[in-house]
Amino acid sequence: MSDALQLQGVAFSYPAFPQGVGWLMGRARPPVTPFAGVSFAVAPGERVCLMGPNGSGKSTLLRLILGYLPPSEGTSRVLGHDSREGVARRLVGMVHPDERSFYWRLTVRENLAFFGALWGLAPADSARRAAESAEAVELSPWLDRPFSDLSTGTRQRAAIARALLHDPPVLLMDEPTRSLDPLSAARFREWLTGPACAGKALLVATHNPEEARLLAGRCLVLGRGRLLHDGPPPSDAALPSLMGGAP
Amino acid sequence: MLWPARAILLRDFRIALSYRLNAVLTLAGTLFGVTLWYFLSRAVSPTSSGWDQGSYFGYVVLGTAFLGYVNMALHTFGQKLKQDQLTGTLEVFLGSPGSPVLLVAASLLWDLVAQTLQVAATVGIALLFGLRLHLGSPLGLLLLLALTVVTFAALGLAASSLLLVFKRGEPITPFVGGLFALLGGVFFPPSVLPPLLASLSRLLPLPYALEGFRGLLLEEWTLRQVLPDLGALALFCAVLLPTAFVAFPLCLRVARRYGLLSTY
Repeated sequence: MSDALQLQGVAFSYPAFPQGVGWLMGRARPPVTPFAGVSFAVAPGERVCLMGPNGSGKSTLLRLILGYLPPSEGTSRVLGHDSREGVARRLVGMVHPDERSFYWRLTVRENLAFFGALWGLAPADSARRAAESAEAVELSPWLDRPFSDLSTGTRQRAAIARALLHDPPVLLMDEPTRSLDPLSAARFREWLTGPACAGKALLVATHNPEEARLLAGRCLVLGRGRLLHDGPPPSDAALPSLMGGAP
Repeated sequence: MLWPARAILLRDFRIALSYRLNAVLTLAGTLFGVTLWYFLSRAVSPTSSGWDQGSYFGYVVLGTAFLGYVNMALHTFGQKLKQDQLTGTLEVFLGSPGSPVLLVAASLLWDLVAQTLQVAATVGIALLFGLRLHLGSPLGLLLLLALTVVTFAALGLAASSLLLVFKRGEPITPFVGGLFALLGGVFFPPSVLPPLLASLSRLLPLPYALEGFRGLLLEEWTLRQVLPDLGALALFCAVLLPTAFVAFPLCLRVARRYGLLSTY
């Protein structure tokens, strides 16, 4: 069976804008290479955390796996499919860190049904999956409430429910507990390690070393433009030297 | 693609429905607009100004009603892209498995419906003020409407592609909208313009659209009579559609490459 995720020699650069274009856009920018030569694989059903200091490229790496961004070098595959292909996008669910990425004038149910349809589900299937995903993260009581009425923690539950709509075998999460209080964060981790996400490969970007230890038995650390660590979550003592500053 | 398009239409309908005061105010604005044109048309003396287009009221009401399609097509994509950038839904939207171009084009659906309702309301109110319609060919009207929307939607898609990269300014749409209002035969026939400008107006799609709408609705034109205008619009479609379908993916590729999708 193919690895759930497989990255081989992946590099990504934000190129500099062509001369004059940067001026037109109001921002000249030198080329930036968050990382290069990143290689790792995530097995089906495996949970892996992704850590690194600010600016190390964690979000960029997740966007690259999602197919938003093209790699400058190397390959990124989801269950054997190139990340940029539509087939690969159907295999990945993303819990976005941005709670704005819903339509606040619509109810939770309407939001989930919309995103389900966007991923190709027929209306009946979309409605059914919206109810099932909401049930899986205890979101059912809020299904018919406007999204704007939800608390931050509940919105994050909606974000998980959205990622689960098309039942993808791979889930990516970008600092999902960033805005949550400790109790909500603990509850969130229970969902990630519980039946809702059972059998799915998880790659979770997090700043929280304790969370990394609770969530996964394996941790990737990005920093200084490369993959610095691939193994058990590092201890608190090892972290400062491991994560010491952006490239 | 059917389910995403249906979902986008439903999304936009539900969001529009949640802004009820906006709908009421839009209708009020339409009423004020038609009232303005009615009294203005009474001030325009056809004989003294050499006006030979029949009722000025009918001329200007239809002109401004269908100018709404132009504004819709030129501004909708830009507004929706901007809104999705600000709310953070753009990344999710464009990261879905469907074709980004078709998904964005589907965003026009509700606005098309809304604009058609707006046109119907405008014409309906004008009928109360004494406008007389003489519909010629319904088929001609449908074809003309379809070609008009597609033409301007393609233009809007191409223009708004720049928004993905440059974020603000939608540099072309206000300029093009103003140009169309001046040269497009919305408020007065292009024939009253200086010869050079009158010739320039024939290079725009709007005069053909308006000529056709007025002929079909005010002068009972047959399908045969509107064929030249349909042909002209079809030519514009043939140029603008491929341009839009090349420009949008190209700008999307550039935005992805430079990491601009999630910025605004």
